[in-house]
Amino acid sequence: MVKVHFKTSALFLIGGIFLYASASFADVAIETSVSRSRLAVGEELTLDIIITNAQGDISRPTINSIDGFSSYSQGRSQEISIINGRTTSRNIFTYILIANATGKKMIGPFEVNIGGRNYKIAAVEVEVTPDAGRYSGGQSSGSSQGPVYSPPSRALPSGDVSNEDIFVRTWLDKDEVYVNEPVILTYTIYTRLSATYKGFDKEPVTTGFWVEDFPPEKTMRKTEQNLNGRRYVVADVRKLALFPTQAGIFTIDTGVLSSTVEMRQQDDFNSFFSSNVFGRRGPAGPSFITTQVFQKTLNPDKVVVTVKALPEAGKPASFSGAVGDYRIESSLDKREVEEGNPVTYRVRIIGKGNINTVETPSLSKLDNFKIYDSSSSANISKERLIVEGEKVTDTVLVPKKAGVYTLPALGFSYFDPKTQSYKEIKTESHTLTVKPGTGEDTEEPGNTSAGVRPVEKEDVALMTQDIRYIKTDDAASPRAVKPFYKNPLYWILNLLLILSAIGATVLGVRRERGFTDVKGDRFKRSHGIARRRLRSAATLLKQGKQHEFYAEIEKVMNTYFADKWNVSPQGVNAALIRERLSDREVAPELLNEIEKLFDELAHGRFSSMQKGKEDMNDLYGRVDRLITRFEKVKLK
Amino acid sequence: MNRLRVTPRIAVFTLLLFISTPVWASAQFTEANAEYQKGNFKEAAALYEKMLTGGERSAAVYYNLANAYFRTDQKAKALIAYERALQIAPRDPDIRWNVAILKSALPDRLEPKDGNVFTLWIREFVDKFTVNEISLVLTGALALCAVWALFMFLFPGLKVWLRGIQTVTLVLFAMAGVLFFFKWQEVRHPRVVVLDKEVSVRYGPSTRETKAFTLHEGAEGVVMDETGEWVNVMLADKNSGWIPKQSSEVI
Repeated sequence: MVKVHFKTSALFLIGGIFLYASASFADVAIETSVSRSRLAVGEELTLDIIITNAQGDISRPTINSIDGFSSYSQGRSQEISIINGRTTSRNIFTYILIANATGKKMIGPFEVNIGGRNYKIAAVEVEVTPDAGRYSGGQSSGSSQGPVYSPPSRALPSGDVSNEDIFVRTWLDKDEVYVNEPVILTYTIYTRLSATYKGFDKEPVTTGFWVEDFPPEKTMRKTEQNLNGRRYVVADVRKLALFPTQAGIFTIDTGVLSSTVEMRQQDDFNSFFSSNVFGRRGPAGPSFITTQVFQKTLNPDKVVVTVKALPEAGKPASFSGAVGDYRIESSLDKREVEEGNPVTYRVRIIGKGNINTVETPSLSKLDNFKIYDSSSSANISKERLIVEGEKVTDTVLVPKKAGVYTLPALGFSYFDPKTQSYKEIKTESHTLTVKPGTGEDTEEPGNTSAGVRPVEKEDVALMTQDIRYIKTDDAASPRAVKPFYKNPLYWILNLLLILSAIGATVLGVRRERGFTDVKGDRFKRSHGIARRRLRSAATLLKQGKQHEFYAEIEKVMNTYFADKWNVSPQGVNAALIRERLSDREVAPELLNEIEKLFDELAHGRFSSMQKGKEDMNDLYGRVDRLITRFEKVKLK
Repeated sequence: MNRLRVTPRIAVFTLLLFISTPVWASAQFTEANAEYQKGNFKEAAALYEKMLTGGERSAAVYYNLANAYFRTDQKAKALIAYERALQIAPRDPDIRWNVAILKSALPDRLEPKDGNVFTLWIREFVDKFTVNEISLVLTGALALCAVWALFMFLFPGLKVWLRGIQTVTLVLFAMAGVLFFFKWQEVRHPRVVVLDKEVSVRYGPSTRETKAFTLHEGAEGVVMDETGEWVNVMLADKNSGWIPKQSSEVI
């Protein structure tokens, strides 16, 4: 089986998925691939034996010698890819063979012992052509890498290009690293010719390292440098981050690069036929100078790196091999959930370093939760020569009981190579409120003695709504009484109160008036009283009671005028009336009449016997008219 | 229902509240409570009822009887007893709580449809007092009016002060009058509770009359009219109809 051999890490991962998909149940699969099926004597061939999903120890394939080839170097690399939690391992045994005899050759078959069992490795047929200089139609390494102006895909002659004109240097950014600390391997091409980097004929052997390949830059940066008096164009063609997996001193086989070199040459027959499209395009020139393209294999030096073990001192218990600079986050997708419904607990580790092999801390057993398998995914970016990214682990939790739970903080520790110390970081703890489910009760019986079960307050009200307990004290309890309003006595009392209120008010008002206006009161009533007295005098006149009549008439006069001026009736006489009326406009005959009447009354009482009935009638009429006239007098 | 000894003097009404319970009643009460505690609700209910017929009509007895009825799932009877307890002690939190619980378990939705907010507010306020309490406030306000009037008569010098106090007292009297009117409106018509699990309410006092709607156990209404066998009930939502007396009880 011939397989085109090309490698970048990313592609390898995809291949891993594919292989896994085709070989389910992790069956051991063995593939053999050669870098070219046709080559010239003296040229190199890379043979890869790829063993996928091997369990147990793998012995070296039994390759002692291969007919017609000499072994140039051999190496072994191991790659492990974890996709969706499944591990796929690939063990690759790489041999570089140099052809030294022509003809069709079979490489293999071989045998390999994996975990105590022998597996056969199928043979590969290659053709070795006699002439190293010119052959056509053969397959070259079918890498599609490189610039777009790469020549057609066919074998090119390797001309006399000296190692001084073009060479590759490999260098590491550090000579000493810690386990899991990345060291960056850089391939730099130095050239004085017009050269094109064509990729790797043989991948570097990185056994004991986890490799992250930095993506090739879109435009390769070229600089010019002087070296040993010569001027070179310098370009970094490949950069790898190597994560050592164990301590020790490692020599890394840096592999073999291939390139094409364009050289201007004088036209001759051979070059005419083998010239490329660029060469044929020069019909205008008089001379037949064309550009010849040669293949040039570049063998960089091996590099040595010292890998130090991580210090044991101060290694935290939670340390699981993370080296770099990290931070950790955790989150819950819901704060509240009904019992029996899942929540996703996510732990993210973000940082620089061996993110791919970092183990996220996992939740230990939680009471009242079912914990389902977690899934991890890593997202790695390799920008600016830094391997960084995040690893996300999602764990599905299913709460079994209602309540408020605290998911504990998870501890994570890493080794920081910059400070050469361990660092411990923690996630936040999270509170999760689990409500009782609306569906069927999934509570397991016999599991109820798990302490206090906190319940939401509104649930208490809902679940325990019941009547309150009976009263135990009857003595202090109020008794039923007949409503007062049904009792007439109540209304009588109210009526009495109303009456007494009104009565007291009225009395108060009346007495108040009495206090302030006695004079006016007497004045107002003087006329009415006089008239009443006059009426009784008239009765006495009719009855012929002469003596009483005169007394009554006298009283009428006295009280009438006494009331008018608020004086005692005894003190009333003509002189007082005259004095009181002195500042008023009163007709003189009225005053005379008053004087006359008082006079006559004074006499009449004592000489009453001599008076006849006519006199009494006359007196009555005169008093009556006097009062009528006097009422019209304005006294105020 | 409230057949009580007519107490001759008003002052005695207030004193009655503090009369100590006779010894026999106290013993009976303790016994009934013990039965209730043991879970013998029927026996407890019987004892409480006996106390009531014996004249021991306290809020506690009505309340405990209602609890016993409630525990034996006689919701209508429990409601009647609770309401009677509330009439005696309208602000008792236990009674109010239990009535609320009981009413939440009753099937008929009997809420006042709509009405004047002011009227509703006064009704709610008045609900927290017995009619006698409001009567006493009314009479007290009247008595104060009379006292101030007398003072004004006797001490005319204090007139300026007493006029203000008198005005306040008159406002109090007017408010008490309004409250009394509302409470009296409420208590004037006796209320009735449906005892049967389900009863048909008819448009007239006869089984020949058309059915208007159905009421369930514990539905409460106001008696508007009655014949020998039937009562005319008006519900809180102003629906009314006739139900047989035998399937209801007046509070």
